[in-house]
Amino acid sequence: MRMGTGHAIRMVAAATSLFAWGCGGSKPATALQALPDPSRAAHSGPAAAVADAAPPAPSSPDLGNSQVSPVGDTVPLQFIYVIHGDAGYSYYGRDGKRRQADEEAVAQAKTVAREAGDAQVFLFHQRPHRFLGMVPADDGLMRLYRNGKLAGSEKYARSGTRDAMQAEGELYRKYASPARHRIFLYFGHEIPADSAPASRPYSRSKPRLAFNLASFTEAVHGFGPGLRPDAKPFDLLVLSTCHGGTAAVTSALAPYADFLLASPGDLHLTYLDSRASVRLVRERPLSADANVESWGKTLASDSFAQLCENTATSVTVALYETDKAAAYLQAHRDAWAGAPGAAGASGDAYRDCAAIPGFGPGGLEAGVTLLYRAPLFGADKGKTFQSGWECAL
Amino acid sequence: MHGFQRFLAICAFCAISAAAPAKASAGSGFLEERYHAALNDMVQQVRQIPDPAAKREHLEYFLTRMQHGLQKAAAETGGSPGALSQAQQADRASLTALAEKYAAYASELNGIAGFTRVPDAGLDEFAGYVRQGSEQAAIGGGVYISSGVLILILILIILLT
Repeated sequence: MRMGTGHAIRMVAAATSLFAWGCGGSKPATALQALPDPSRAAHSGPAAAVADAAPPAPSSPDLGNSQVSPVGDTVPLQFIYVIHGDAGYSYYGRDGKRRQADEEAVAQAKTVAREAGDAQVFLFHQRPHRFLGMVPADDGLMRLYRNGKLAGSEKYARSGTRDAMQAEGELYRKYASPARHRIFLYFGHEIPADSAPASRPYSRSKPRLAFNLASFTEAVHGFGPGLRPDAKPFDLLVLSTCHGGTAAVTSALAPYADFLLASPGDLHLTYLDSRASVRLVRERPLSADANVESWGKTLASDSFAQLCENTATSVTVALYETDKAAAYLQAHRDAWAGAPGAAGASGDAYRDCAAIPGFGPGGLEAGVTLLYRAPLFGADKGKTFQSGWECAL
Repeated sequence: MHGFQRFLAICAFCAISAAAPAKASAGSGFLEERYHAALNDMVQQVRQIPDPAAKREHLEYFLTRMQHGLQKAAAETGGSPGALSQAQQADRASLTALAEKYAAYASELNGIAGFTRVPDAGLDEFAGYVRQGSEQAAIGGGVYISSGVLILILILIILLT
């Protein structure tokens, strides 16, 4: 391969930016208040209450026109998207064009937000703290949609030492309406079992920001309980990451959702696809609990089809009925929890948990609906996948 | 490669080597981007070659150069394993793992070491498969070497050969 002049010039330009990046300041990100503050409406008297009922402030071009529901109104369905974009997320499509996975996930979420009827949609986009490695910038952007309209947006700072997603939880609690059904979706790289070392940070521009399975679980907890008494906080939790369907992750998240949709294996940055929600809202509303499983299966099969069409690497998508799955994993805990790296140590290789003596077959009897296609090339070309869980070697 | 281009590349190498932090953070994003772009260039070149034998030759050249370059980079990471810091050991392990990955790709391309030979009709798809191997949502996108300089070596292997 020969290097073009353009390549060389771009490398020099990038080197220049890297020099500058090393010299930048650390101004904290500023927040742009574009949303009405519901806490004022609830606690600050009539003026604030009027502000909620009145059309939103004209200073924000993003605000909808009297579409903003006063906080307190119950909404039938809520989507919470958290999309991590502070790491390497570029990839190339079949057409050879460069794509940015987090931006595509944002676009996917916007489609759902605009077309999913009367659902309320929170869209949190976690971005690099520095633009082009030089200029400090707000590193979080929340968009809130109600009734298909953008109700407002707010920039926020993911502060340097707090656990990742703590800021998102706080904003959510500030602005969320009570919701009868809730779906939580996370898009990003694999959630590490332990905090990543500084040499391998999860968030590149904020290497000290703690992020691991424990902090993720705590953050999910921070989004609060659902409306239904004695029910789990979320109907469905979607993990669009590599190795979201490990025994450790399933066990940790089972208390928070009725169903978990995840990839036990590697997941190409094409990601899982939640856009089927748009038609599901119309065809099978979540008023009946039975529809949750149906939603999960549809999102799984759509994602699987999309991934199979666009990639040659392995495709593994699984829907876990968490009560059944957690019971199965608990009964076989000695097998998987005792294995080296069982919690899914960062960067370790994984294998089908069924290969571990004593784990059992997993699969349907364990509450797992599995969609699997072996890679089109490589040593695993003819591989079968059985249990629906991967365990670290 | 023309002398001017080589000069620019060497300038870039020196500049980035000096600027890149010992531990990768935001700066390594650029390097990773270049790695992905280089893989994509390879895929597009393979697709544009009409003759299957020439396609295969191009792929083999790329894969073996990558394998050998990575092996050299791993060997130059430091002395004996005991003398390396934890980060250096991780770098070496990553480079070695990547070298093995490219060796397996090359073996499959040619149908050796227990692999079924990639058929002529599957060469374009195979090239895409190689690229997609680095585009997974694993930590660091499936390719992560903690030192920016080491990733740069990777890029130079691709760009300067």
